[in-house]
Amino acid sequence: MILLLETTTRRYLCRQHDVDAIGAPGVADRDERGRPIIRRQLGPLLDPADPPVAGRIHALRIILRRRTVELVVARVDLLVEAPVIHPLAAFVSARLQLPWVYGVALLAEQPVVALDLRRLAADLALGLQLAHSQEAQ
Amino acid sequence: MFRLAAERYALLGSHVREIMRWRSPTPIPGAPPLLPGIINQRGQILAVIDLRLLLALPAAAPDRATRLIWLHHEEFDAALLVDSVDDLIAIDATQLEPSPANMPDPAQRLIRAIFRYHDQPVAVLDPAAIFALAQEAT
Repeated sequence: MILLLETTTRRYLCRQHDVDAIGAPGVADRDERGRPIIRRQLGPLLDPADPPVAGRIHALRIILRRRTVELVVARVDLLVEAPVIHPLAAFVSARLQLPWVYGVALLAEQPVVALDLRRLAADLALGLQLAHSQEAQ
Repeated sequence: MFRLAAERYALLGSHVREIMRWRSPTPIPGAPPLLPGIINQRGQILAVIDLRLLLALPAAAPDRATRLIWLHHEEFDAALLVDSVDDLIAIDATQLEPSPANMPDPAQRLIRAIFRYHDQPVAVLDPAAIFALAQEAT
């Protein structure tokens, strides 16, 4: 199953099984098993032009062995009909800073990027981010 | 035949599927500025390649003249971002001259031949080199 994620200005897709839980973002810095929580706004993490979401927001929780990652978005929808996800052209995937995008689908004729959220969470746990996020810190 | 900055370039018509007006592509997180995003053209998802940046020319903001050229070569397709598209012209193979040997990279790799049009040089680009260079990490 595929989830449609909305940030302030962008839409992304991800595999439902990459996400362990969806709910309101927490404030605790550790989860119930004592793992540190890394909490990030998904929009600005991926695109410096996408502002953080405000108001009613949702957190996608991805549990790793030693960390839990919470990615904050404006909206999450489960797509009843899974779109066809096309792999990126080789000349594009070879140039990605981090392999967080595994394909592209068309939704209402608009291209929407499909994210590998497990890989993204694992990289965040290792301290890896896209260049614009590192510069912003 | 198309323009980038003050220069004229050309692609063989057999490699061009369509000329499109500029529209903002969907960005791909982590892609370099050379690859500003993807577009949907008649159901085909095309990655956009900024040809100015591929040729190491300064970046330019899109305007009304900006065009996307749907380039097809073997199994690869892409939309090349160019300043403007001039014309479709017929040239004879005998008009083509080899590209000068002393050109700097990346022009050396990208330019397959040169011809003159209204006494101005026009560089014919090699589509295989465009895809190869777009894929190489910098």
